[in-house]
Order: sequence, then C-alpha cells, then structure tokens
Amino acid sequence: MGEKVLMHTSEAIAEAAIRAGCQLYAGYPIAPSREVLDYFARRAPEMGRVCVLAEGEVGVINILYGAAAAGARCMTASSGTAISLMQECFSALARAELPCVVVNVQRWVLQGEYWKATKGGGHEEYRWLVLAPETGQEAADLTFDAFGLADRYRIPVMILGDYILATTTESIELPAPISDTGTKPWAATGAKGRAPVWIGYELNTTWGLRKQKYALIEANETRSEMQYMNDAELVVVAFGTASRFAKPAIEQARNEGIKVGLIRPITLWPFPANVISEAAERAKAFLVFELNDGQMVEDVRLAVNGRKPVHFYGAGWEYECPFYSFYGPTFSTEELLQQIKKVASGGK
Amino acid sequence: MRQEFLFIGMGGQGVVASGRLLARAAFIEGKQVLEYENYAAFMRGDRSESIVIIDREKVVSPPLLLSFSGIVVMHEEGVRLRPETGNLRYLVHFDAGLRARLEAARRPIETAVKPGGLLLINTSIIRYKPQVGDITVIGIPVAALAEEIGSIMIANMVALGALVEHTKVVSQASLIAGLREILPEHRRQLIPLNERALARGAAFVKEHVKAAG
Repeated sequence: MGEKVLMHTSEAIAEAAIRAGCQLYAGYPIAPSREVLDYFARRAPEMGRVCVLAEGEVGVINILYGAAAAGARCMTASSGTAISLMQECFSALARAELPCVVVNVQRWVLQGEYWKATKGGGHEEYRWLVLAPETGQEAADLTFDAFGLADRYRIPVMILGDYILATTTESIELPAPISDTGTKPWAATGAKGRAPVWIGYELNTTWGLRKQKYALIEANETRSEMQYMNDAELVVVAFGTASRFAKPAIEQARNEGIKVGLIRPITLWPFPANVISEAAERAKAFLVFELNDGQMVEDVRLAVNGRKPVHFYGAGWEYECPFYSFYGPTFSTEELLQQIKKVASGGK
Repeated sequence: MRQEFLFIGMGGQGVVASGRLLARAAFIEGKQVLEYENYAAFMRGDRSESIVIIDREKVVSPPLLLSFSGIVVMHEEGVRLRPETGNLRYLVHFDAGLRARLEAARRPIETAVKPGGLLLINTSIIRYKPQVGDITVIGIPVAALAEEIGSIMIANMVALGALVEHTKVVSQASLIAGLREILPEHRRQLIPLNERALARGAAFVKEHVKAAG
C-alpha cells in the first residue's frame, strides 16, 4: 500500500483512479461530484493524463465510449439527474463490452439510485458491476479495483456513493500506483499491419456471450461484509452510508444482549443473494436499512424468498423524523438501535 | 477515547476551515480522523456545520452525530430555534444537519453536548444563555478579540484556539503545523496572523475560565 493521507473522499476517488492508470477523465460539473473533476483537472497535467470538461453529460459519456474503444482506462463522476442523461450510452457501453468507470455520487435521496444503478435504466438487456463503498478508504480501494475489474470482464463499473461519503474527509491509505495496465488486443488502435477490429452493438459480442460473462462475474466477484453472523437471529442488511449508521447501532444492541448481525453488500450487482439466502436458513428475521423508501429490500426479499419476515426502515423523501444533511434525510444511529430493538422483540 | 466536535455558524465565518484545521492537526499527531462538512451552497450565507471525529482507533462512526464532546457556536442561527414549520417541510429540507434535528425535537443546542463536554459560544454576536448542567460553557467574544489582533476574518481561529486550550485534544503546535499544510502558497503570509489568533483564544481560556474555575 502507498502512503497515508488525510483526504476528502472525492479527491481520494480521483487519486485512486490516477494510481490505477486512468488515462482520461471526462466530466461536466454537478454537485456533489464536482470535486472529483476539480482534482483530476489539477492532477492530470502533472501526470500526463487527459481531463476533458465536456459540453454536457451526453458528451461526457460518449467521450468515455471513444476512449474505452481505443483501449484507454477512463472514468467520469456525476450525480443523480446527470447520470440519467448518460443512460442511453450506458447500454451502448455494456453491449459493446467497453470497460470504463462511472462514479455516481447520489444526492437528494442519498440511496435513491439503487434501482437505476443495478437494474439498468438504459434500453434492452445489460449488466454493470456496481460497487458500493462505505468509507473513504473503501471508496479509494474500490475505485482502484474497478479499473481492473472493468478490463478483466470488459464491462463498465459503477461506484455508487452519496453526498455524505463524498464530503467526508478521512485518514486514507492510498493504493500504490501501477505502471502496467496490460494490453487490449481488441481495442481500436489503428488497423495498420493487422486485421480491423469491430466494436459496437452486436458487432464484437452477442447476448449469449455476455450472459455467460455475467454468470462468471456473479460466481467470482460477489462481495459482501459480514459481522456477528455466526449466531445472528436478526440480520440487518444495509449498504454504503446506511451501513455506517447501522454498525454502531448493532454494536450497542450486541452490548445489550441482542443477537443481531450485519450483511453489507459491497457489490450491489452482482448482489450477494447467496449469503442472504444462507442466512435465511438460520436467522429469525431480516431488517433492511436504506436511505430511500425501499429499493434494495426487494432483492433481499427475493433472496429470502418468503422463508423469514423481511422488515424495512428507510429515510426517503417523506421520512417523518428527519436528520437532514443538505442533500436529503439521513438516519441517526440512535433511531436505528430503536428499530433493531423493536424487531428483535417481535414488534412491527 | 473518541472525541467529537461540531462547529456551527453562518457561511463565511470559517466553520468549515476550523474543522479542517482541527482534523489536520489531529492527523499530524497520528490520530484517526473523520471530518464532515455540511455547507453546499451556504458558503456565502445561511447555516453551515463541520463535524470532526478524533479517535485512536479507526473511526467507524457515521459522520453525522447527535451528541458531541465539544460544540463551537459562531452565530445566533446556531442556537436559535426557528418557529415551527408545520407542514412546510421544504424549509427543513434545505437546512443543515444537527440544527434541523434539534429543531424537529424542539431541543436547545446544549442538549447536544455530552456530559462533561464543552459548549463554546461567540458572545460577540450571540445573546443566548444556555442552561448549564453538567457541561462547561465558555462565552468568548471571538469577533472582538479577532478585531483587536487585526482582522475579524480570523474570529474562527480565536474560537479554535480556545477550544483546543480547554480540551487539549491536539497541541497548539500541531494546529500551527496544520496551518502550514492547509494554506495554499498565496495565503502563507497569513500564518503569523492565524497563529496570534489561536494564541489569543488560548490565552482567553487561561485568563477567564481557569481563573474562575
């Protein structure tokens, strides 16, 4: 690992990308992801990388399409509505099997984009790898890993963060820079002296081949963190910032003798359904915490498949007891502890 | 032991800068740090907050908390309970974190200070008199003291100097080392002024609080 720094998470994401060999960053400013663009714009000239301020989001994502097709490691960061504007090209990137990294710093409803990130949102059938960091350290680590995963599977990868994560500064150990990012014989680098390559919808791949690849990713790349799962009767499922609020509540509940555990999905697609399914054999109930009105809870219910009750507690737009961050309602650890106690005692 | 600090004031008063400097000083001392800023569009007005969590161990806590070892309030807005908003929840949607929560519960600011903790109030502009229970309250005219030194712009540093003198969470030397790391090249000439402001805040605590206690 590299040196230890005190760093704004947005900047740590940008620095991790540079260290992972990201050659091109394209962006169009939107709060709260603008800091990633700012940092990259400062660092790119020093590092001999390219940073493009595009004319808009459609421009950004098509620049990424071009850079990825030419074999460059590339990234953008954006938020909410601006991510929606890129959605058409997301399908195109996935269907042309072009590796790239897109950071989505969610705003307003802080985890309101789970559906959009994991279920597509673009036209027709495709998948993206979706990674959900909980801390600044993990955001840096996952961004670094994202480039490797994107290249290995030729798939776009989304880092799904939020306003709280992105505006937090923490002690972070940065990953060591890599110099060799490997070769891409499939990339359109000029056909001089070799046969041309084809990149585009159904030109270099088929749905059947992609389906096999998606199955391979599900088998190999599903990640989750577990705490106290050896004897947990109540299983809390939460990702990203919601999990950060849940962990001290779980700790407190444990101190009070409640057998509660945590499953934190780190990959949202592929979703750690197997881990949840296994837990459903032993646990008595599930409690899902999300900073929205209930999105991932659907995937938890699918994995549990009716075997045990799945409760939900969220903080969406119509949340009644708000602990507001500027960009939307959030939890307090105290209220999550109350929810754990309520469900553990058979209430709700 | 974990310690949590909240700086609260109006955009432009330097509450985010105070948080960043305290975090940097703790980091220099090899401590684990988390710093969270809630300001967004409020840089030029309306309430802003900065939260700093300092621990020996890795900080697992979420950035947003309901109680703190120390709170620095720079502006009346930080202590005033706004009128009930009723169903007009959008007024709250655009508000900063802890204050909105306290308002929702109709709780005064001092209830967010942990027992034995510190509430530091800028008496240059705040008239509010908190209920003193098992917490320490320091009223300090940071704007007036900053003007004595030469610039009202460093009122936040006077407050930070006082906080650090009372809590000893970091050393004054680390704060100064932090300043050197944080300030961009073209602001370096302001370091001596900031040093004087930190020292003035510390001296105020020594003179008034220690003497009284």
